[in-house]
Amino acid sequence: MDLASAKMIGAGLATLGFVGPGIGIGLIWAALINSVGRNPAAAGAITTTAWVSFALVEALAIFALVIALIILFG
Amino acid sequence: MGLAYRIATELVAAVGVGGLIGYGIDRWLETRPWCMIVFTLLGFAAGMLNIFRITRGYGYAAGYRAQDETKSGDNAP
Amino acid sequence: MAEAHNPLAQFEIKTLIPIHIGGVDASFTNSAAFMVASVVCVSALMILSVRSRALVPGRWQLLAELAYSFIAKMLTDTVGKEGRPYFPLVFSIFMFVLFGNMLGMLPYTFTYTSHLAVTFAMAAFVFVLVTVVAIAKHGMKFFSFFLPHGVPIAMAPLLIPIEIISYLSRPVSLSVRLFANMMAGHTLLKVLGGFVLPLGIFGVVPVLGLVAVSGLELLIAFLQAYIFTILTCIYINDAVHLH
Repeated sequence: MDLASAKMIGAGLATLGFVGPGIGIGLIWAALINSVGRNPAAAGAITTTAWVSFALVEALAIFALVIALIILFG
Repeated sequence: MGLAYRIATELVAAVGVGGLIGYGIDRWLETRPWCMIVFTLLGFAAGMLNIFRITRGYGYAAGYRAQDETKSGDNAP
Repeated sequence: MAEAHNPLAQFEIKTLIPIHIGGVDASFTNSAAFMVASVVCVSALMILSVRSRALVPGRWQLLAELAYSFIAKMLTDTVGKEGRPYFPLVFSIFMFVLFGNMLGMLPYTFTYTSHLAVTFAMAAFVFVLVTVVAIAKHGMKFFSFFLPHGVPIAMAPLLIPIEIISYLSRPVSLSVRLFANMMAGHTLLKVLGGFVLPLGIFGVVPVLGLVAVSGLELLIAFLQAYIFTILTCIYINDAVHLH
């Protein structure tokens, strides 16, 4: 296997890192919808926390993308 | 929806800037890899601070000194 | 075959008129051509549509007035009265980014906002301008903002680097956001488009997806221009008022 094909395979494997954040974002919004449905009065406070956790999870996906790009072009 | 696009890159940008500063200091002082590790962690903290400020609706300048004392309560990070 | 369907081929920069000034490659590229095109479009829209100066605006004049009042309201809401001197800058940035995104949605065009060099140049310009305005308006007081008010002095060695990194990450996040969204959207369109012909009769499915994604891309094109502009407004507000 030459270097170019190994890079392609490595970049493809690095995108597996999107699986976890995908599940995580789904869980965050599911929990948000659940809790707002149960207690609409607390929507503001819960949404703030949800956005912070969303950003944390989303950052992991972008880190995976950055690593894939570094493997591919670095 | 605009908020999602705004905060998604915030953490990554701060970590990237911190890592780059650390890398530059490492190349300058030849202390590899310690500065890079420290500044990446600091960048992570800065990114969390940014996200916290955006979601609380403070804007970016929450660390800035309040002009009048009534606003100082909003300014605590 | 593989080259024709490469989804990244659309971002390639082609030299149209080679110009070299003192060893610096300043060629007129397709990116520059579309920048000129968008500037011409914006100028034509603003000049021609308000030429009649009708009291009851026609369709084109209404469009121009809507764009004007949209930005004016955004600037007044974020900055207040002191933001008026910055209106031409903010309006130019909004129209330039918006037309760049929208011209890129036409077939066979080039999206200059999908290049990090272009977006980072704009973001760095905004960043430098905001810093200069803040220092000119407030002098050395500007540097006291890296220490939040009411923080114990023992925390300063930890907090000052964090605040400086947080301040320096502004242009990076501003430019990477626009660049990544435009590039990802156009790559997605190209990849979906590559599925249509090889699938034969089942190619209808990707076409339906393509229609939906094109609509989404139009929304994102406007949204990203809006976000870029409102963040510029927020930065100007920080510089002018410093809280």
